[in-house]
This record gives sequence, C-alpha cells and structure tokens, in this order.
Amino acid sequence: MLRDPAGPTRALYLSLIVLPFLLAVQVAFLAYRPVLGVMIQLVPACVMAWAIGRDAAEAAVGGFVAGLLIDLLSVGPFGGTALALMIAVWPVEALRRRLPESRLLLPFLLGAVGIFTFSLAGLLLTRLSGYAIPWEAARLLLPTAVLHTPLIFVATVGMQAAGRLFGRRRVEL
Amino acid sequence: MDIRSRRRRSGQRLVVTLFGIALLLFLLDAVGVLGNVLNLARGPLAGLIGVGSRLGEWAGRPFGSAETADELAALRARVGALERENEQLRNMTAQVGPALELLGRQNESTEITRVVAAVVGRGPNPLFRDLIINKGTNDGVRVGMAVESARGLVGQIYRASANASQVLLIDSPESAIPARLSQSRADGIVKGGGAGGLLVMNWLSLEAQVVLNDIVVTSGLSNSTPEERIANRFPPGIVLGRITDVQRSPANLFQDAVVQPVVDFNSLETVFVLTGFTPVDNNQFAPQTP
Repeated sequence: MLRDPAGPTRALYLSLIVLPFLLAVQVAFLAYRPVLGVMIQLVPACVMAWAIGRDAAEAAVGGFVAGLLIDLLSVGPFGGTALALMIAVWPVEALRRRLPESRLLLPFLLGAVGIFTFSLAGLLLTRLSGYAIPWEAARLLLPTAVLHTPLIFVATVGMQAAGRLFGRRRVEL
Repeated sequence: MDIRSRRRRSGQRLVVTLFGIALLLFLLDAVGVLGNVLNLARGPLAGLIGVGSRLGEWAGRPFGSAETADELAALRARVGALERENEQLRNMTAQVGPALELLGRQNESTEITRVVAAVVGRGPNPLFRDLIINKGTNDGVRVGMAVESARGLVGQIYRASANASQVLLIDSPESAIPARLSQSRADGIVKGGGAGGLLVMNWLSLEAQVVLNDIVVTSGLSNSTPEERIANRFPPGIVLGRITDVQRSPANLFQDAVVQPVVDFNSLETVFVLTGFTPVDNNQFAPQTP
C-alpha cells in the first residue's frame, strides 16, 4: 500500500499548507457555481485524486486534514467529514489493487466510487450524530459522484505529473 | 529491521492514530465537549476565506470599468429593496383594515438594530445550507440572532467566532421558524428541506384558507419548547417567501404548504444581522413553577 514509506508524514505537512487554499477556492468561489444543482467539492475531489494517483495512506492523512478544515467551516458534526474521507479512501485502494491499470478509465471509476462512499459515509455519520438530514438527500449521492469524476480525472493527471516532476528518484551509483 | 520498513510502519501508525483522533473528536463534539475551543481556529480560517472571496469577486467581475460594476451592484441592491418594500406593503394591506379596526389597536413596530455583514463564503458541507459572514462576537453578533437581506429573511446565526459567523439558512434541514400567512393570518412552522428538499410550512390548521402566492412572514411567536418560548429570535413581519403548493388531506390534522423563498441564496453579497429588537413577551405563557 505504501509506495513511499515517508509519504504519510510528508503528506501531513503538505496538506496543512495546500488544503486551506483549496478550501478557500471551494467555499468562496465554487460553492456559488453549482453544476446541475450539485455543489462542486474541490477538496474531497483532490483527496480522491491523491488516493488514485499517489497513495491511499497519504490520501488518508490528507483526508484527515481536509475533513477537519471542512468541519471547522460547516454546520455539521466536527470530525465527521474527516472520518468520511478517511473511510472513502479504502474502497478506492482496494479496487485499484484488483482492477487492471488504466490511465483513462481508472480515475473516472475510482473517483465516482470514492466520492459516493464519502458522501454516503458523511450522510450516515451526520444522521448518527443527531442532525435531522432528510433521507431525500441520498438522491443526490449518485449525481454528485458522477459529476465529480472529470474533476478527479484532471486532478489525478496533475498529481501524477507533479509526482514525476518533483518526486524522489532512485539514483544508482 | 531496515529503515524502509521502520518508516512504513510509522506511516501506518500515523494513519491509524489520525483515524482514532478523528473518531475521538467526532464523539467529543457529539456530547458537546468541544464547545468554543474550535472557534479559535475558525477565526483565521474565515479570514483566509474572506481573502479568497475578494479574489473571487475580482475574477468574476464583468469586463468594463469599475464604475460599471459599482453601478450594477447599486442597481441590484435598489431592485432588492424595492421588491422587499412591495412585499411589505402587500403584507400590510392584508393586516390593516379589519383587524385593526376591530381591535382598535395601533400597529406597533418593534425597534430593530442591525449590523451589516458581507457574505464571504458558503459552507463546504453540501448536506447543510449555510453561509459564512465577516462579522462575529466582536461586532455584537451572537448565536441565534436573525439574519435578513434586503428582500427577506436569510436565516439565523449558528456559530459565532470573534470576527466571523456561520449563518444557518432558512432552507437548511436544521432550521424551523415560526411563521404566519399574510392573508389568512394562520400560524405554522417553516422548515427547510436541505439539499434536494423543499421549504415547507407545517402545522397549518385544516380550517385555514391557504391560497397560492400568499406571502409567508415571520410571526414573532416562539417555538413550542419551553426553552424556545423564552428566547424568541425573530421579529414579526419579515418576509420568508410565497406559497407555491398546498398539500391538504382530510386524513391529516394539519395541512402543509410549499414555500418559495424570496431570497436568492446564491447571489447574496450583503446581509443584516438583527442584533437587537423588542421581542413578543411570551414569558407569561411559560409554565409556572410553584
């Protein structure tokens, strides 16, 4: 599972620097531009892209930071989004190991699975903590998952390209 | 054990630890222990969102001079104010006349003080409908205060930190506002439906004449629980929306009405927090303790 053994620790620092800015873009800009009635969630999409393009353990660490930042600014239970994001990373990792490698199809499929799991886990945890979210909200789970796939694909490609540019390389002496 | 496998194990330990921390925070928040501790972190984060909001406004500004953008904003505000005035006049038309003549009372208006706040963002959790504004406890904003725009009621303050606050919108599933119909004067509770749901006025008496396009305003009455009865949060007469559908069945004791909000929550830029008003005194109806 761990491609880079020091990755999760590095992911923690990287998340603390990058994710607040991505959240600012989501909250102040994208939240006012829903696509077909679905609010675009840039930060969870980037966490899923991290799991697909890099490593699930790193993405879980990123999901923890992202979730707490989201929960700080939202009305919902604190820690719920962090748990939902960390949970959503695991089916993505499990499927990635079992499915054949494909640079085009895999980000779309795994991205949809990841966002669907994240939204479902978020809904269940929110209801579990006593918030009166109606079950009708579950109708939006599938459209939300499908509409986020192009964004996750772009983020995955970008993350892989950044990994190739700035990632550590093995040097043979 | 080599360095690589030690690092791998420490990475896995970190993930498990963070999951445990998230679970612990979730449980602590559920029992209400965290309280105001989180407000310390909310302030700086809301400041960052404010910067992002200004950049977003700059990026989304129409091409042309700054004067054109200012003029457009001023005209939008003027249209909003006129529409609100129109709704209020229609509401007053329904109120004055028979009721006032019969009772021989003057229409008492409550004195309201307001704090102007800019909307800097929307809540990132799509399950809820909330806004982030740039005024907090330093400006006199407190939890539970009503928030309105030029057109009508927006919601109420859900959390307040020093320099920012979260506003729970009226169409959020957690919101319930005592309301009244303009024409029939029937009382009910307007509840939000959240993502994918509708704003619905519940608990309307079956005898009440509910007509389409009737205006729904805040009643100024309080909710039914003893705690809410004492702390009334909404002054009467703030416009909530219009009736677009009525769900009536003889099998039920009450009828429901679907409400179309007058406020377009996606285009809100400036809101007013009602920091002070004279509420309807409901204490006389509270149960007396011996």
